[in-house]
Amino acid sequence: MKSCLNKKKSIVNLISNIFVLFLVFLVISCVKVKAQTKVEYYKGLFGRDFRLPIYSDESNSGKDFFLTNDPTSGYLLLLSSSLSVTNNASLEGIITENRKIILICDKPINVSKPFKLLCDKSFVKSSDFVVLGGIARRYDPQGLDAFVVPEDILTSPDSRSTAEKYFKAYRRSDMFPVMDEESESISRILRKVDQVKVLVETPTFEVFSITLLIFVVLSLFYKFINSFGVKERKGINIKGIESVLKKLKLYFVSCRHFVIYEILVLTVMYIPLVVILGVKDIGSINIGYFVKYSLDSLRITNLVSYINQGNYFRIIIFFYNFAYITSILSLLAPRLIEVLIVALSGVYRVKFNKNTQRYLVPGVLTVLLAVVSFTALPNSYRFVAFLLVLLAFLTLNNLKFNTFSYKYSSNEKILFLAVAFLTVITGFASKYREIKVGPKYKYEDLIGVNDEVVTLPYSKQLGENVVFNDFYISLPEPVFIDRYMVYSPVNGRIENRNAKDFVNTGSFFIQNGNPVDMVSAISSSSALSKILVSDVPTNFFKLSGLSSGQGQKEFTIKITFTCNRIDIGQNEIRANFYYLNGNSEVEESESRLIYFPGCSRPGEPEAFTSKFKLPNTQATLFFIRLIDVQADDIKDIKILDSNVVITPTFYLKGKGYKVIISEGMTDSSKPAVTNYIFGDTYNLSFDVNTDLDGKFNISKPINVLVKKGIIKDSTLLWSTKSYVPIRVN
Amino acid sequence: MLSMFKSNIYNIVLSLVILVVLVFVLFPIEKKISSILHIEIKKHSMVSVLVGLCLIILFKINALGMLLSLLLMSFSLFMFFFGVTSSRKHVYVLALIFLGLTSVMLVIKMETVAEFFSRAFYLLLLLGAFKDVLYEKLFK
Repeated sequence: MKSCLNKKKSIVNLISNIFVLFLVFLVISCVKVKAQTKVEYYKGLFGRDFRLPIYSDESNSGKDFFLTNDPTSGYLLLLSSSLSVTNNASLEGIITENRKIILICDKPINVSKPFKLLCDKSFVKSSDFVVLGGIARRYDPQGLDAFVVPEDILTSPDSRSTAEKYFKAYRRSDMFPVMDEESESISRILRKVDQVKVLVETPTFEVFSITLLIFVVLSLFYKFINSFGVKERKGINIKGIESVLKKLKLYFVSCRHFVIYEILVLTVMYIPLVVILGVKDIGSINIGYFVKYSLDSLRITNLVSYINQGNYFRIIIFFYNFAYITSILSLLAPRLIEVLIVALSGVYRVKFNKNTQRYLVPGVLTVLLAVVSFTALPNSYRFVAFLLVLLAFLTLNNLKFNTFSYKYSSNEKILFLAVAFLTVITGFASKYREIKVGPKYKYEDLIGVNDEVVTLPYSKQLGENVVFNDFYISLPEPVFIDRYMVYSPVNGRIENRNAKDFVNTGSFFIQNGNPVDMVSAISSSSALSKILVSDVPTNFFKLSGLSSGQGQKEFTIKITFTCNRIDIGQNEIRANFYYLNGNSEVEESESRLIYFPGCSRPGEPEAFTSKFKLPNTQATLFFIRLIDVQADDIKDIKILDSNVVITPTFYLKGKGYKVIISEGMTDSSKPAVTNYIFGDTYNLSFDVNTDLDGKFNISKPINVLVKKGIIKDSTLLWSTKSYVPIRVN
Repeated sequence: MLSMFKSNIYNIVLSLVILVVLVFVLFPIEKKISSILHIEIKKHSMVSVLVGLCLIILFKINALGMLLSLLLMSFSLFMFFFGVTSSRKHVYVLALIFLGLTSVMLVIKMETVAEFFSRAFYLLLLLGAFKDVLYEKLFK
């Protein structure tokens, strides 16, 4: 009795000690939340409200979900008051170390290096930044990524709410997919992911999710439901499956004690987790916030970014939820298996009537014919597959029970065949008519999101047979969709043509393109070749004047890197070789040129030399593209053939959707502008007829491209400058 | 006309295969083939092969989507036949459980989950009604 009382006492002591410790923790946490500096306040604002990852040193990172100790993924938050007004070097030094910065102007600042910037509490001015909604923005994917915000915007409730919209627009534009030759494999994977996403939104998935829910709830309440009139369960008659399922069930039953203990421990852990998270992030205990946080953390795709950011609390919550869900599922598993055995035995015994079999099989076949004849298979393949599964089930069922021997009267045969042929003929006749008349298009908005501020670039997913409602714009910059020009602020006519037809007259743009198409066009047009030659070294160059059959010979390549970036993101430099074969078609091969250990000092050019062989071909002219190397990273390239120096001809080449050269754009006396495109091109030409307000309906040329099938699936609306506002309400 | 054939090639091939299946179902062609080839061919085997051919054509259109859809639809169909063979009392009790859960979800303001549960309730009622009205007519 005494020992029992002592035991109880010690347990009570333990619980009270834990409670006191918990209270102390709570008080400390609350005190810390309240004692914040201006920088901490703005970190919270930009992290929580504007959803930007914020850089913080190691001791603070991971405390809030938006904090990270990785300077390459989080923004360094700076106040202009903490910078010396005249000391450009301090800002330059900070930017060398941190390429992602948010500068809040709470005191006037005027710097000229590394960029020109003038700002104070109420305004920001800079020729090196895009200023939109009072916020200055500069984003180079491989370089500086900066926001400059006057403090008044953040202190006034109205301005702050507007700023939030602009930050959302900036984030959306920064996420646009740069589609180029290197990212094609990624886009293929993304298309697969899109297929799964599309499936989730279909009735197939909806019905499946409901039946799965019914299955789970049935397993949970199985004993209760059975108490309303027990049905004798018969065996499945498929001994193998039944014994495997029973063994699996026994295994889960044997683990049950351990799983119950695990769930108890996890449930006890739940309370401190809710408290810690609530106090840490929102200053109070809130189960709803924990649930929302848990759901965000449960996404497996986010796990990698949490690990990269060192966000250990998120990782803990992820594994906590994962353990909880798997424990509960394994506790439920014996019930699920029990119901599965019952279900299998039930379905195994399904026996159709003779008449059902008689009419259902040809009936399903006729419906199948109707679906296949009238609809487009990419849209209806799920329903076709469903009917085929049903047909297979009916056939197998008849094979098992031999219900019906497929004997039809002559009248029935004639009727079924007549209906089937009529269905097919009508279906394909309607398809033929559709081709003659054209499909029936659905109209939707060009800018499909409801955001009040939307800036270019803007990514758009096109549906099938979808065109766009009128969308009038008046912008200071030209607008392109994929590689096609659809708007110009200064020209009355736009012509999109193939780059092979290039003529060096008037106003023109030349789009970046696939290297194979560029090589093909450059080889066939001397005018184009001439205009695309770059005065400075780039990552795309031509070796000419070689004698044929150079494939076995060793050349030496000497690449001098500018070293403006110490780490160019590559440890080896690979190259694509392009050359024309006997049929004047471009062939391509790839090889490693040199290993790149990185630069010794920033800004000090460094040369690396290596031997290489050209592809084994009779070609005398080769184009070489250095893969994943930016033009800015190259200071010089020399090719040595024994002791003879071959100077390559460098060509302009961009990445993704980009104008690589434009001329005559400032001359407003030239009414037409030509946009040259590499590869297969549709010659889209139209007049830019504006309305009385000077606005042009951009949907008109885009709809032509959609109807011709030139643009489809994922497309990009973009301009020559970043963050051009296409919608501001 | 040629462009219509080109753009609907899969539809045309599928229609032909399904028509062949229908002809196989309606006429004893397998007997004639058996007598020509001197091997026994059953109607079920021919129909199964042709259904398999149709599935292969559909896989050509969208392999991943088709695979996932097949899995999801097979499970849904399996659950439907399980429901059909279950006691109608069990179906209605399960429907009532979902009705109760819907109310609970509405009380705790989880409207989206409540809507989901109500759909399951509706489907179970539909299944019960289907069983009551058509079971004897369709199944043995």
